Amino acid sequence: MVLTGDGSGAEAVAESPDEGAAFTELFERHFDDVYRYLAFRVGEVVAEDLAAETFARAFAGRRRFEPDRGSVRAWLFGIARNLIRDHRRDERREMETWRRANADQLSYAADDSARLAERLRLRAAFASLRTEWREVVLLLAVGGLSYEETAAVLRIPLGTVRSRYSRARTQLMAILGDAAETDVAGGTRS
Amino acid sequence: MSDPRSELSWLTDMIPPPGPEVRQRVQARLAMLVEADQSRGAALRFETSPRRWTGQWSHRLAVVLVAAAIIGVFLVPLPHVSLFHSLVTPAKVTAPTKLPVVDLSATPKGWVPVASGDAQVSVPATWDVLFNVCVIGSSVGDVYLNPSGGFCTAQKPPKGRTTVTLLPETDGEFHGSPSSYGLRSVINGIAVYALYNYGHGPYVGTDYLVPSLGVEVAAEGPLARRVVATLTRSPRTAALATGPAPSVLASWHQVTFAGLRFSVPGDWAVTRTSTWNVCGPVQVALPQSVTLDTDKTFQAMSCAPSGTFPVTPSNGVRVDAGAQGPTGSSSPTGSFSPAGSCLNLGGLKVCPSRTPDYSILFLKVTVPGRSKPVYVSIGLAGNGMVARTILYSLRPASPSAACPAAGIFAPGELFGVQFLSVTTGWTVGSNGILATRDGGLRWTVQYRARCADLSQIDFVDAEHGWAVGLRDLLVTTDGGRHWQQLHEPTWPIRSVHFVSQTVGYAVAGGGVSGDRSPMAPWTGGVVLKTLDGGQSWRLLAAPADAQSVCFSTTEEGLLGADGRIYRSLDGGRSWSLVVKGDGPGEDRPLATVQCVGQRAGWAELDGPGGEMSQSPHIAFHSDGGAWTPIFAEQYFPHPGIDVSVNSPGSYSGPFSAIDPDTAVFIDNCAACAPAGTAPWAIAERGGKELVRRGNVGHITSSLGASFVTSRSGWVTGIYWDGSSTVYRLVHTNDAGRTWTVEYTS
Repeated sequence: MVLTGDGSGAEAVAESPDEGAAFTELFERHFDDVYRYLAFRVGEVVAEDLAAETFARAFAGRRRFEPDRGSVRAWLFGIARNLIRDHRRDERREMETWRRANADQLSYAADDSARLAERLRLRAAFASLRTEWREVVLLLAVGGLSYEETAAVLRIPLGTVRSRYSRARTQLMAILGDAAETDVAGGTRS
Repeated sequence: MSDPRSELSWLTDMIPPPGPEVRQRVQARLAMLVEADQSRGAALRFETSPRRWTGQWSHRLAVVLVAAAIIGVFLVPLPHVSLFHSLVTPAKVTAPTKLPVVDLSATPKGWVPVASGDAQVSVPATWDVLFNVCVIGSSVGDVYLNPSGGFCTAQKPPKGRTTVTLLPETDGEFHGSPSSYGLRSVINGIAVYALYNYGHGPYVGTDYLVPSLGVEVAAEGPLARRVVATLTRSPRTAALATGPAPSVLASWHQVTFAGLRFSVPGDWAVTRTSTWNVCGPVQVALPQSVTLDTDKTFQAMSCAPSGTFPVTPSNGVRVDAGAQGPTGSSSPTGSFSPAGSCLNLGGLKVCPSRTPDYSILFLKVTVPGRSKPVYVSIGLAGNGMVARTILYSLRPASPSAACPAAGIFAPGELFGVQFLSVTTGWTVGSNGILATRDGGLRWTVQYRARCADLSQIDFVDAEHGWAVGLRDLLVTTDGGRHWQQLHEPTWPIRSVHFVSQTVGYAVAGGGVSGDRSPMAPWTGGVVLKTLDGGQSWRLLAAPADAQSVCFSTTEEGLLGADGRIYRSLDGGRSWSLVVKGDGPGEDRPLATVQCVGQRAGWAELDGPGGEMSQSPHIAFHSDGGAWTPIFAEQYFPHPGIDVSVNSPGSYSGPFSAIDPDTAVFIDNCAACAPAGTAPWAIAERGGKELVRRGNVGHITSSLGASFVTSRSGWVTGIYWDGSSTVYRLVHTNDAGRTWTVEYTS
């Protein structure tokens, strides 16, 4: 999978005469997605540290990056994903928090703010997904990876990525009904 | 092909894109990581780079970065290095431009400096310094100094290294980024999150998490070495340190916390947290209720997983019981007006303050020699110990500055005194142990330490004695010529009473009380027993909240606990209640007991509470049978107790049991002209007669007393002449007709 020239910064990492500027550019381009992916998985506090660590490792390993074997994006998310391995507890707890929100406190929350209640409901729905489905969903929807990149990061066949995403999507829609279609989370997605 | 990003946009929107401050923090951290990596000479091979970046170059850069960090300003625009230029100089963003400077010289030997904003804390090198995510109320960047390890402790410094690294600690019952709990707003530069109380109790929609002390410090190597890098984790600290000084509303009421008084809004409820709440869910709620850590909580701050001994910090920092607010008791504990509410704390001016919009408590600390005040956050997410430690680490250099537990004893203060006969006696205090063999004509220093802070001395004969202090338990077997330090299984042992050279009892642990008995625990104390002269101790099953203990034989003893008096006839194996001791309030008094002779005992219940010039206190006597009241402070009702005799003074002071029929009670009258007096009386015939003897001479306030007969006794105390204070030991040989000053410090 040769992605050189796709604008992802791959060629810059390998070849730019100005490594610093290139890496800066790479950081600027991917930071938001990497951070949000990490925040989803381990919470925003830990995500900050892991995001920094991800890029630090990317910088340290930039000479070993081989554009022929995948995109920069897939490479970065692969690093991020590996780092999360040391933070399994964080991830479990993050999801547990999300789940609990729905189970125990929805009625309370609803009293206060319908929007927040809905938000909690969405989170709980997401947290209810199977782990491997969730991972696919996060890489695709939050990380912005393509199906191919996701397959590369997870080292699973492309078809598996597609089927997992499809099932996860179906389950989410089933749980949420129309809510998910109408962007009730109140985001200002651009 | 479907586009997951737009299909699941609701999911993506749950976590908004990182704001500039997040980006900036990550960039700063990344720059540090890259720099650290290069200085380690890791797998980076810059010499092969087309640009011929060399390790040296980057090393130089690292030095510049660290230096800049230490200086506190990024002076250098770092030209020609585009990577770092963009990573470390996002100058458009409001940033903490001032980074803390760690002053190693201010750190006691064996301790490690930790910096937070303008403030520097020093902690023993054996402590773990962690980010406390264990407590939900302080889940973001709060520093949690954990002196004793336990459940919350996951990261321990490696052995043999004086390394303390602040790490994000991720254990605990609750977890999650605060923003996942609710809405975020920024007040005075401090991120505040609306919190939803999941799964525990009713919904509290207006809880807030307040990150108070955001710190990240890594200091490696021996203390003599420079601290490599110091970095605040977030601009929050800077905001705390440099924000405008808020004002306190007059309607707030006063709370004592961590030895400091400060104020909270009048409608807050201030309660004590139970032991395990600390690692549990919501600890602080606004405005419905506010929970401030108390000494009890403090035991749990270490989150000890098991064990019968409460864990008490070994750093000597006191955490006082919090006062109770409107829902805890009948009324607020006082009113606080902005004017005159500042405290003088060892030369530091400490004023309570708050932010304008929300009730974030912090103290403005004015340090002599520093141009800018320091704001220390307490309460809510704050940790009283941190605040306390900061305050004391900021103390100006003075003879007492290096005493880590300053605050209980003043330099030169004499406290405990014991005379075995009219000739042989000892007195102890902040500087050590003094002894006399000639009735006080000459005193010799038997033990000297600048921060000894000894409160009690207990000899069973002329050779065998024990000295108890805030940090030490000392023993001698040669009359005090040599003192040996004993291990304290439950820290600290606060008082001892030995019935022989081997058998003794102690009260240990718990939280400290008021001024009169600075070491006695008001709550949380436990009873220990030794059979080998204090070399080893075991915990006795005894009524909770032990406050004082004594034994007249190895079998028969008295215990003051939870404001009540108990008796044991079987060496402490079982206890029966003998004085119920209902005080005027809901809180319990402090019960002090003294044993003398067969089964006889004397006791005094002090408090709780008090007014401006009175404090409820009541004395009892028993000859082995019923306990009869001797006197009581008459301003306060004493439910169920019929006593018409008034106390010697308005505040209780020390008392000294002479024999089963005779005891001396010394009180204090702080308001008496000209600078306070220590009125006293002799209780004769088991307290049936109370003979008032006027005031103790040459002191304005009493601290300790030992009488060997009703005519001959010694009293330690304070003499204040209106401008300066000295500590004295005074003596009478004629039942108080005349007093002589035997020692002045």
